[in-house]
Amino acid sequence: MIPDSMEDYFADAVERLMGGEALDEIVADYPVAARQELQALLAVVELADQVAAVKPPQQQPVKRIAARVEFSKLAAVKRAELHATQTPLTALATKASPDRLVALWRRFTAGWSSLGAPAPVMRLAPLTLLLLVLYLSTFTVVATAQAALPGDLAYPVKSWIREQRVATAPVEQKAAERWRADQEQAQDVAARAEQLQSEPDAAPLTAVSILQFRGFDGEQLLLGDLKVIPWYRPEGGGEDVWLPITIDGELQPGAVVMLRYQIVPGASDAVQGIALSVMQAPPMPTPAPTATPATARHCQRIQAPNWVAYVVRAGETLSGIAARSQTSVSELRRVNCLTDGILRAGTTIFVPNTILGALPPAPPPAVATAIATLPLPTATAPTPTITPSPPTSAPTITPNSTEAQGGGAEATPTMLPDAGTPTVAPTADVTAEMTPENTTAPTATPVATETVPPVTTSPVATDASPAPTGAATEPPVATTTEPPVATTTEPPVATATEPPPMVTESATTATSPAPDAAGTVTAVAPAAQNTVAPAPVPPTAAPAPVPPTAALPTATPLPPTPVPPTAAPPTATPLPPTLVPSTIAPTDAPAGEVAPVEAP
Amino acid sequence: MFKGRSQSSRTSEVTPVAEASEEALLAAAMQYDEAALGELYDRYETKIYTYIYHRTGDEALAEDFTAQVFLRMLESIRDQKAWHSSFSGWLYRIAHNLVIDHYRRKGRQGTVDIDEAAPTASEEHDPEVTVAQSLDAERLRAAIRRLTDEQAEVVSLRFLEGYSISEVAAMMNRTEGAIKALQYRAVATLRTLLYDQLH
Repeated sequence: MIPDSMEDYFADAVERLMGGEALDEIVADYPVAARQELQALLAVVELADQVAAVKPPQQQPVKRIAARVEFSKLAAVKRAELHATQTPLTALATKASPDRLVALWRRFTAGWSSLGAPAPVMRLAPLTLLLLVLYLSTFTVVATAQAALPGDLAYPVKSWIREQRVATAPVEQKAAERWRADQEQAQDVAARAEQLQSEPDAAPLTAVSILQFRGFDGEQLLLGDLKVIPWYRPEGGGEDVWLPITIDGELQPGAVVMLRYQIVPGASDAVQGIALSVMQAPPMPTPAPTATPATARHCQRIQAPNWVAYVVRAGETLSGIAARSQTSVSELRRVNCLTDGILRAGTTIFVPNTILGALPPAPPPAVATAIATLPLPTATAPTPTITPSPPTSAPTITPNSTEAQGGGAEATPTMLPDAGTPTVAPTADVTAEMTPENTTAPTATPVATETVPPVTTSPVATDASPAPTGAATEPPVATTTEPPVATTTEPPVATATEPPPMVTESATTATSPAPDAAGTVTAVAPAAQNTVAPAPVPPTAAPAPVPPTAALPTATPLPPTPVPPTAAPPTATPLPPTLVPSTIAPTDAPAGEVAPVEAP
Repeated sequence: MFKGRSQSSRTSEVTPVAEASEEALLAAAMQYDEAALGELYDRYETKIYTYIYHRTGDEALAEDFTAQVFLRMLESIRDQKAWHSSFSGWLYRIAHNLVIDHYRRKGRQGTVDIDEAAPTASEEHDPEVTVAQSLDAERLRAAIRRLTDEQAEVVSLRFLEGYSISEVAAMMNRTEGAIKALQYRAVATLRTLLYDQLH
């Protein structure tokens, strides 16, 4: 083989040199051109060989042994370290899993440690990685859920988290948290509806949410901050195919329900209800009858602020009324001193002003006109309590409450005449309101109690102050008229109610007023009575009891006068003794004590 | 896994350390097996010592460095990547690095102080020759230290330790052709270094 490069020449020559051949002889075998270099190179190799030939002196045994021992020691240390890190994991593995897993784990960790990092650290790396992955995935899920909207996969997670927040809130903050959660849900729905609107082919989305039922708004249900239409358009159905919502459970205001609903593109605050299931009964609302005479020996009916007089309609039950007004049956009984189980139609009772569904019949026109003439005593009262009742009922009637709001409303119209006695302090504010109300109220009342109101009005008039209050009560009736009026009348109504019962009875007998009015004679009659009564009473109710008292005396005489003869006499006659005094008395005793009606 | 020579071998399944293949020894050594590590130490200790002596000409240094080589071996034995190609080559590399680091720190360039030069164990009895030889040897070592790591390794393993091209190729994880090229370049450089000094 002929080498063709210096490298090869050299390699070859070195082999021969190391084989024992003489340098000069080797060199002579190569091309002349390479000889010089080869010779020089080989000379170096020879020198190296000489150096290599020098044997190292014998190592001193002591040193050598010492070195060996040092080596063994370190080996032992390393061995211990290795076993220390290996044992815990392998022990775990052996206990928990079959041999195959153990072997697998060992191999896995061995692979880790072979990377060169300190053994203990690397062994834990897989575990740390696992924990990190778990944390990140949980974090991602929650983060995704937070941004979810109804219809998304992660929305139930968001809802769940929200419900946990409500559930874990302290008792005093539960209601606030519930409302907050409901608001957030409504916002989510609005966001989704908006989003759907921007998509041309978007189909309605179905979602499930937990909300608190707050009441009815006409036909719609108010759940949280959402309006729910009790119909839905099922998928696949035509444009006009609507199915009613299925409700499972007793729907009482305050109840927490689970609602399955359909979001309509563009509709940001209304959804179509598909199904509803009551999950939690509403907590009993705390009524706030301020004037409750705790020490009264016998039950005293006191109208609390935010409570209105309501005339019971035929076929109604206390539980039904309680449900509609977010209160309990026991509460109604307590406030109205109803000991037995019989609730007569036509009875006027106090109910929270949140009552829904009260539909007072149109007040008889006669009454309305009569009342119209009466100036509205602004004084009467305050307030607002009455307002609620009217809403549902016929607007007109409200004040008179012949219907539902209770006589008080009616009384107001009568009271109007008493406008002159704004003395009723509470009425003061009422006065202003009253006047306008009066005008309207009367109209209302007439509708309500055509026959009776007029009658009642007169007596009512006597209690100037009460009147206003009566008027105040009217307001509630005056759905048409004005809420303020109603409010003012409220209190009076309260007080007035005292008499009303009595009045009612008598009234019923005496007045058999417009049969046509409320559709139930009884209803009307009581209404009339109520009107009377409430009027005088108002002041006692919520507003400053004192003024009314003072006003009362003045009022007393006044009422009769203002009340047009037409109205007044009739009512007064049957009841004067009861009515007048009642008007006065109540005012005197704001406490709500139905003082015996003194004859005027 | 292994049984040292000192222990009596009773179980037939256990391989006597002295007969074990390097692969098996290394596998056990990774687990810091006492017997395996001991065997490896015994197999390579002298070679490493000789190598370091050839490179430094200093016995004390050689002893010291040899111990260090094996201690370093223990530290990194579990890192299979470092030595998986050739365990011996790895050991020689450790030794080489120790030598280089030592001289770098010392700042020696080539010449060595005659008083510090280790006593030469030469077979020559003529003192002049001995001195000349020791001087030459030192000059060579110095020259080798000035080579690149790879060149120095090739020259040391090939000409100082007497390994064949194929053996050196295996130890350095290079092809034989690469080794040939390296040895040629290395020696050529050495020649230049040596003759420059001389002339």
